[in-house]
This record gives sequence, structure tokens and C-alpha cells, in this order.
Amino acid sequence: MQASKQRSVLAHEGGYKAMSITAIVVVLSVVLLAMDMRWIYLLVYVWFGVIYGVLLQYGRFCMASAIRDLFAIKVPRMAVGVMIATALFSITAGLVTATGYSTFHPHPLGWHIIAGGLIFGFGMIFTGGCASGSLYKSGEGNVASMLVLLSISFSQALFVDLGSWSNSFTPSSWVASAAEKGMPESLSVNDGWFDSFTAGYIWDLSGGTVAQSLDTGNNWLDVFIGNSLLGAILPTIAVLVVLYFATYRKGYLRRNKLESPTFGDEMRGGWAMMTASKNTALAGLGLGVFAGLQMWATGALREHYNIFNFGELLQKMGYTEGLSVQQTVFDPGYWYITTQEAQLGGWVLDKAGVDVMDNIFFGLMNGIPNPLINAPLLMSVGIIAGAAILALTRHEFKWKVPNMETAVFAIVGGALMGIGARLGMGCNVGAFFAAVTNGDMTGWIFLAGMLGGGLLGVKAFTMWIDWRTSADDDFDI
Amino acid sequence: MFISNLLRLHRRTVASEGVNVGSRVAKNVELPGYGAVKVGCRLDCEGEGCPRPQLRTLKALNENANGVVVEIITDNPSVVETISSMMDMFEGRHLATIKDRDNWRIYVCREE
Repeated sequence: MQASKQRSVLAHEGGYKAMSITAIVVVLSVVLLAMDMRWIYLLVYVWFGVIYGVLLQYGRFCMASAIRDLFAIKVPRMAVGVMIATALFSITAGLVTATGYSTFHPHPLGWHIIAGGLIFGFGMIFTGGCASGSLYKSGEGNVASMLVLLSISFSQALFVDLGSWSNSFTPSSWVASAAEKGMPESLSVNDGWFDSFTAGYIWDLSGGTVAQSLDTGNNWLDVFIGNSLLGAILPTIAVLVVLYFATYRKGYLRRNKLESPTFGDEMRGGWAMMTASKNTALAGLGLGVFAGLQMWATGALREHYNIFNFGELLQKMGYTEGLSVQQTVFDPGYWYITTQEAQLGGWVLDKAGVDVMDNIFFGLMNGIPNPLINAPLLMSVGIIAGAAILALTRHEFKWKVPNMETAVFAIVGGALMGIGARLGMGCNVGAFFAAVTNGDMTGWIFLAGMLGGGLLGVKAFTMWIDWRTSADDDFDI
Repeated sequence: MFISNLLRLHRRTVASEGVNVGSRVAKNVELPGYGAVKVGCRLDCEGEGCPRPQLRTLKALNENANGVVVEIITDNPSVVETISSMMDMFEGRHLATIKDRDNWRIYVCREE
């Protein structure tokens, strides 16, 4: 009975394609491991990417939807899912941190975070997906989302490699401070706005986690009370309470004909909001657990191979092209989206003859490894593959070609997301999700920026739709 | 095969590019678990990304009388999820969602 049910799930064209993608991932993994066991470091990224892709598609999990639905149509469904994932990831991340396997580094605190969040949030309303959302939607055959990914990749690469013309926008204090950092001449730290921004502004800031500020002497207490409870779970509960009263409560009381609700009614209403979309809530739970497991797996592999960065392993394996001057590559060890996309843009520009290794972002920090051995980039490919596997299985895969308007919005919005992500040092995943769950409060600031940008974006988008629909003469309802 | 599919889809999206909220229709549809309803307005949202279908749905519901059934056709899975939850917030009713081979048909109306 079960076998026949299983057959009906997969015995169709989409199911066969889904099985083929799975088989390709498995075969490539086996071949790579047969060549050199050390590829497991890269494969961990790929496998977790596939899992994230499946979960994102299952829950239609998207931060752009979370913010947009809240402001445009007052639906808290996705925002609730994101909050569930946040609370849970803070616990799994706490376990990983307390046992010493954490790969997380807190972000420096400054105005750039809110500015980046604003620009990113505004852009993502027009693209219809956040950084991770655009990946899973690409796996559903959404061509507009693929345009968003390309736009994010190249806008970031171009933004971090701004030419000498941008120097006139650099404050003199940044120039002076950047010059004192003693960077190698090849990086030309004061040529290009983004370089001076990084060396003369970002590097002078500091950041930290709540656990570090608590510093009670008991690591477990610091991590679970500081990072998990104070840094993530309590703010998450506060957000859920606001969401309930601002959106869900009115409809819940009306549907249940409750005129003077008791405390018990309110609690039941809150629970109804949390469980209104089981898919999203379950995806949130899964993402929280696996995001923690990924940090643990990469942390354990780093200890095993006695390395701090994948660049060292690549060097030992004989791959030196595209490494930064410190012989490193981008290797966050946790769920991240945008930097590896910037590397893809940078790699293509490099192949087209543009020197992108003279800037700090690529040249000193992240490198531009070949996309085939860029582990975090392959995690993004894994997300697309995972989403495609589930979408094909569920008959939800369809090539969706955007019209001109959607395509233009995808490219312009994607470019804004790219610029916002570089200013804010991450996207909805790296700068918010991975930050707040590891006790880095800058993530909540990035969220505040994203909310502001999202609100402005929704206003602008609604005005655009109103104008477009009323300008049409055929419109007759 | 893939390229020809893309071209066919592109032609269709270009053809339907004239944007409007919806077209007035009068047809009867049998909704599983609900019964027969008369559809008064149809929104073809194929190829559209969020939040356009949602905003068009709200606009169509606002501009039609209470009780008029609006049919939304979409190929975007996240639209399917949000439109039904959206109805809870706007005194609207989600009647049914039907999955066809390439798309979904969603039926909603404003409470009478």
C-alpha cells in the first residue's frame, strides 16, 4: 500500500526529473569523495543547501513575503514562520556555540546596517523574493527570480569594485583611517568608495554578542541566557505578540464571534496564528534545526582538518587560483547567501578582463574561486536543486517567463538588494537570521531597516499597480 | 523542447501584458466541497509574481459587490498560500482552490 502510494508520488514526469536531480547530486558526491575525501568540506555545504531548498520550497519560506504580506495585505503567516525559525535556530546555534563549534563572527555595529537594510528591503518588494526566496523560486522555474540572482551577483561585484570616480564621495576621515591600516599596495585601499568604506569605516567599528557582554564565567549560561533567550527568543515573542494584535486578532475574534475575549481566548487566538500555516511553521522548525547542524558539521570538519578556512584546504589540495592575498576564500560555515553570489559576479568580471582583486572585498577577504569549487556558492546551487526536487515531485515546477515589467523590476530590485546587502554586510539570512540567532543584535537593526524599506516599497508598489490598472482603458470593473 | 516552451510562454505573457484588474465573466463552476457557484470576475495572473496577484485580488473584491465570486488563475505557489489566508483578514471568504495541470484556480468572494 505504502509502496504504491510512493510510486504515485514519483511516477510522473516531474517525479522522474526530481529523481534525476537527486541522482546527479549523489553521483557527484560519490565521485568527488572517491577523488579526495577532503571534498567532504565542500559537499557539506552542498547537502545542507539541498535540505534548505527542500524546506524553503515546502514552506514557501521567504522574508520578502513576510514583510510584504504584512504591509500589503496584513497576512502574518510568513512573518510567524520566520519568527519560529529564529527562536529555534537560536537554541540549536546555542548548543553549537556552547560546545565550541561555532563558526559565527558578530558584525560591527554602525549606520551602515540600517542603511543596508532599508535599501535591501525596498528592493526585495519589487523582485518578489528575498535572497533565499529568489533561490528557491528559481528552483520552481521562475525566470524572474533567476534574473534577480544575476542582478544581485553583478550589482554586488560592481559595487565593491567601484572605480576612482567614486573617490570624491569618500569622507576624508575614512581616507585617513584607511591609509593607517598598512594594507598591501596591490589592494589600493583608498581607490574606490567601498574600499575606503571597509578599511576606513567598518574596521574602526566593533561588535559582539549578548553572551560576550554577559560574561558570567559560565559559557553555557552566557550562551543560552544571553544569545538564545535575551537575544532571540524574547524579541521573537515580542514580535509575535505585536503581529497578533496588529493583524490576526481582529479576524480571529470576528470568525469565532468573540465580542469580549478572555485571556484564554487570546491565547487560543495566538496559537491559531502560529499554526495557521503548518507548512511554513514546519519549514521554520526544520530550518532552525538544520542551520544549527550545519554550523556544527563545518566546525567539526575544521577541527578535523586543523584549518580555519576552506582556502587552506584548497591550497593543500593544489587549488590556488582565486584565493585572496591571505590565501582564504569566503567560508562562513553557516547559512549565507549574498557574498558567494558577489563572488560569482566577480569571477565572471575577472574572466572578462576586469581586475576585481585590487579591492578589499575580493582581494583581501573573500577571493574569487572558480564557481565549481566555491563551496558556499554550491550551497546556493544546492538550494535551487533542493527546491526543484520538491517542486517537481509536487507538480509545482513550471517555467515562468516574466513579462517586461516583472523583468525590469527583477533587475532593478535585485541591484538594490545587492547594494543593500554589501552595505549592511549580508542579506535577510546573513545579516538578520544568522546574526540574531547567534546573539548579534545588529541583526534586529538590519530587520528594522528591512521593515522600513519594505514599507516604503509596498507603498511605491501599490501606487504603481493603482496607476497601471487605472491607466488601462479596457479595465471595466 | 525547453526553448520552445520558453518561447511559447513568453508569447503568452506578452499577449496578456495589457494590465487590468480583471475581466467580467458569467459562468458556473462546480467547486469540490462547496457546490456550484456563479463566477462574476476572472483574474488571469499567470506569470505574475507576488504581490501583484494579491493586490489585484483585493482590488477586484473591492470593486465588485459583496458575494460576487472572483476566480484567480495563477501559476505561482506562494500566491495560492497567501490568498486564502488573506481572506481571513479582509472579511472575505476563500471558497476553494483547484489544482489544474499547469496552474491553480482560486475562488474567493467578499462576505455577504
